[in-house]
Amino acid sequence: MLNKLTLGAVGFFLVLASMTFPVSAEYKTETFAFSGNGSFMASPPVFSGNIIAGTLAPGMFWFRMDDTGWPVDNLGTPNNERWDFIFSNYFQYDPTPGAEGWDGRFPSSLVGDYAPEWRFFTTVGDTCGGLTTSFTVTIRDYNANGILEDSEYISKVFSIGLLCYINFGTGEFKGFCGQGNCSGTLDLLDETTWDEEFYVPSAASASGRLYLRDTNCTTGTSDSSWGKIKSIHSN
Amino acid sequence: MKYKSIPILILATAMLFCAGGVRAQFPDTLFLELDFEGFGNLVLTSPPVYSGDVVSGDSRLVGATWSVQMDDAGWPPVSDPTARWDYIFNTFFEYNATYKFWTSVFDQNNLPEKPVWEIVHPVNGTMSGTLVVSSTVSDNDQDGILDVEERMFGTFEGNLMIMKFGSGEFAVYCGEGAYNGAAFNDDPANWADDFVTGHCILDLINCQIGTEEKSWSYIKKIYR
Repeated sequence: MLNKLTLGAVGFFLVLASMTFPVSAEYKTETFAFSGNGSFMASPPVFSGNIIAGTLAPGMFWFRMDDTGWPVDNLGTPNNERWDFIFSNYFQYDPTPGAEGWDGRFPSSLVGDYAPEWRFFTTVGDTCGGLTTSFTVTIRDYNANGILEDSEYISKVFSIGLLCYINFGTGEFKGFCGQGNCSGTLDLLDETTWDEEFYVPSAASASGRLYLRDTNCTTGTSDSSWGKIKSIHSN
Repeated sequence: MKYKSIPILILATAMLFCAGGVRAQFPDTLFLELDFEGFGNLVLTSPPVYSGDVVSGDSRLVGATWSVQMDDAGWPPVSDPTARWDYIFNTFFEYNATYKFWTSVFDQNNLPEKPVWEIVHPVNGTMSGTLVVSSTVSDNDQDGILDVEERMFGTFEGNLMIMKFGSGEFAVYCGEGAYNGAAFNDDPANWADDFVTGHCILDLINCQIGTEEKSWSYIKKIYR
């Protein structure tokens, strides 16, 4: 009986959810999965690659971080000054017993630090993009000693909040805005170049989401009306 | 009597072999994906708990229940929902006036302790740990005021830690993970529950292996 009630409640809320975010010409829910790479050592750091699954596939993506003020690595010293700067300014240690680790947030609270930007391109010519509302990288401190070891850096996870801005929409997404998110893994591929594998699963699940609308997407002067125009033309 | 006990012995032996077989499915590293759904209420529940079911994904997790809980010490009581919501909004939400959206973060910096999570599978065991919750709500009419209609939809994402205090088949694992999803609310004006749905990854490693063994080359080897 309880299961039936729970299922009924879930169904009811799914209906409500669909009413809240209706499927129509004015709304789109897009899905995606990524396989790419990038490095914090690049200037600016760019993580890019292919959209491997979902409604946006096939296509390409990139995320670009603002590295203004980040130093370059001095090859004459044993430390990597660039990573040391990133680690000390963006990552915070959580000593909770059993869950020790670092959360790195981009942008940081540094004055003038800008949010990472992003763009998605489908192979049929549709583009959407904007900035990130959150970009968090987490590294686990497996031996709980408060020191980041190589073996801990090699495997990381990330989550990203996306704000899709009307100015960057073309093709199918012209006039659209909205928000979304994704999460995945960031694993070291090459310890000499610090090249990392950037992966949002998966070919089967396409776990990334974009919730787009083409109403109330102002460009600062007037509301967009692409939905209405398209519906007129489609009639 | 002896003859009667033979089938029982055979059955017990078979069960032991089966149990061993199930364990053999859990290697030194695990990358699990799951889709979740559930409900929760920041305003009317103290402490706030979001919970629900693992509805699809890795077969080792489908059928499990999940929950996320925050420490709301210091928040206004649920008996005064307006004051409680105002406190939550004023304390945790930040407005981006350039791009017209609000973000909120719930973590150890603005709560007494980091939020916690748990997954309970009726057969395979339990996992738990800490997490950070970030969310975004759009200012659709771009007036700088969070209207009731705007509170009907939001997105959330974050990273999590899997503690090595699990049980059953997950007892040996710890690791890190990440999730993303969306929240829908039919009636925020009357403090209705949020319906949440999303995706989560769990990147697990056998934490019974000594840390001295977790050299760079060792980890590379097991990832391959």
